Amino acid sequence: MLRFARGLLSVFMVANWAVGGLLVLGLVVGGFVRADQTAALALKAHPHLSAANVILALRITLLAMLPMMWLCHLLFRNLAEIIDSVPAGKAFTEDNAARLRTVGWVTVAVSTLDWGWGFALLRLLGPYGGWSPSFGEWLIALLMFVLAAIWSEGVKMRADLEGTV
Amino acid sequence: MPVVVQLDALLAARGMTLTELSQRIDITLANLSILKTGKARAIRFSTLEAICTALECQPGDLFAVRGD
Repeated sequence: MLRFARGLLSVFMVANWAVGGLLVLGLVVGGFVRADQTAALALKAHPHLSAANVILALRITLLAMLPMMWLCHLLFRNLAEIIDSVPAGKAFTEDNAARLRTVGWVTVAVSTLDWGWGFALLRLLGPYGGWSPSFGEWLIALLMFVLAAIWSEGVKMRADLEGTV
Repeated sequence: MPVVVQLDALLAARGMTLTELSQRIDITLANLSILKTGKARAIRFSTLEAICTALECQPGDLFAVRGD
């Protein structure tokens, strides 16, 4: 299971930058280089939208993409480091509790960014922005903080057991 | 007040080595060394029972509390 998860994370880490990079490129072209053409295309499908709002929405998406890619990288990297610590016999350490807390904070940041971007899209494009609020990420963040706290307790219990014959 | 483990004295009295004790009670030599050298932080009752059975002694024979 851990080997499979580690393999998946390696794929995700590469895909995050590769796919993210392509999306960023597309948004730069659509939001800046060929902004007018992109807006015209959007207006053909939804004539009641404003060209300025479409272009702004693309630029805001680009602005959100860049930190999002970095946050995803942090998330994948911390999970990979947790998994890598297991064969070394160092799974139950304060380092891994800290990594779980980092994953929690990253999830909070991702959720905040997502909601901010989503609300901007709703304001600019209405229901055609394709965003709807989700509470799942906030629950995942809470889960990570709880896990990190329990992990820290486990580390203390393990330390107590060391030296028990 | 440190707790002193008197395993050396008991082994000598029974004419047994630490290795023989380890084999007899199926506790690793490493763990018995930790106990013997006073580095153990705790001992399980099962370990205590095994040692006392093998050395034919009481727990009180194994430990002493010495003043600082």
